[in-house]
Amino acid sequence: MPSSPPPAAAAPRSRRSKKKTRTYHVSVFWFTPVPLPERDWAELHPDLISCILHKLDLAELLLGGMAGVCRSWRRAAREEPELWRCIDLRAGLWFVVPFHPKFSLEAMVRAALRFNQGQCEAFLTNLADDDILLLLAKQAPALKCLHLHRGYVSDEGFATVIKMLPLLEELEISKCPQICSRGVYELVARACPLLKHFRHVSGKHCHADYAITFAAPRMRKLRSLDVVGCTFGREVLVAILDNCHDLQYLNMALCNPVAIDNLPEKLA
Amino acid sequence: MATREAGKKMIMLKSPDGMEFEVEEAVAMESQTIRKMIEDDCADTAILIPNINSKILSRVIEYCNKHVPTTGATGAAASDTVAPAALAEDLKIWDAEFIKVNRATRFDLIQAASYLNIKGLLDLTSQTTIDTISDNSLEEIRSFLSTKNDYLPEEEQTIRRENQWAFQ
Repeated sequence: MPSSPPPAAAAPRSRRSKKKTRTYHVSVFWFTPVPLPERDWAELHPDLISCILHKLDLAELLLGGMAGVCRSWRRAAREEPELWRCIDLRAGLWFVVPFHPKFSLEAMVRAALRFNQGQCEAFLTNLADDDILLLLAKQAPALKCLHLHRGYVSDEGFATVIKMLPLLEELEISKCPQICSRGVYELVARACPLLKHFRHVSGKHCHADYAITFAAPRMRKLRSLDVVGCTFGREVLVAILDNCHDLQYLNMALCNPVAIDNLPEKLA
Repeated sequence: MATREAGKKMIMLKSPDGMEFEVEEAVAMESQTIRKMIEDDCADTAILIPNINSKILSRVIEYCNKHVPTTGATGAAASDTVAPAALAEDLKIWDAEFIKVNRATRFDLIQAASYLNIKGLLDLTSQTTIDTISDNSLEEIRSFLSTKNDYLPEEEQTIRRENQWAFQ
């Protein structure tokens, strides 16, 4: 019995000597609270403020209070064209005062285009019309990506605009029933020689299938073609495969099954 | 952990307040900054991580430990049988729990994630920050960010005019 104290006394000494090397297992801190003084977020590095603001919905960035917090956050939210390169207004404007001219889609697009100082690369929106599109084309000559959903863009309006966007690489036209003539789709093929991705979704009253069958084989740089509700015949498919050598992805959803009987071998 | 899994290369990470953490190389390499150091052979025995105190560094290591691809230290056997989708879901829940920290810690975590170049952690911290401050009034955002209104009166007038809706 009396011999037991020495090892017990030795234990703390060995622990102390271990402490000298100060190597800890991570789990030491798992359950310790972290009491720290408050930080002034205004002093966060501008890049990190931008990084946080990038997570914000664009409409909120435009209209919300974030830009009015303090100088450094304002600078990040308003004077960094990088933040505004992609104008994505698809989330909808549910929190915006309805029918107020100050917060119309056009006003927001105008503001966003001003902040990105002509460096706009992508534009994605619902409910666009001819005026908005023209505004965009004038101020974003380097646009690479354009997505139009449920828009009121007319055939002529779209034709005017597409000629001004020669660098376009990605185009989506979803449920815009007024863009339907053969001429306008062929113009896309001619005016945008770099087009790599094309997606078209036919709406209820959309009859663009016929136009696309003529235009798609002329988009020679195409890598992906996604047509929903549009029927291609066998000869069109052959034409597409013969002309678009870079094509890696072809999707035809909701199309007439008769048309895809006996597929050309090259598709495999 | 050092002895449990033999054959795995360990790296020593030092914080400026003198603490040392021994972690697997794979875990440390979740940080692109450390990966670069290791690949450039700048790290022989220990890597000093400046600006990041031991408390924050331990949390960062905890994050990396969890996010290291499936052969990671925690539950290697379990992850073999679980479907990737379930694993991702599990990770999401873990992330949500992990980021329940006070504002100052989150501030430090953002800076650490940025310095160590850990994209996942940077995304997580900035997204959480946005989730907490968006949909709030200006004063609430200011108090959350513990920052003051540093505009001159005339500047504030301009901003108020430009963005009336937000100031209501």
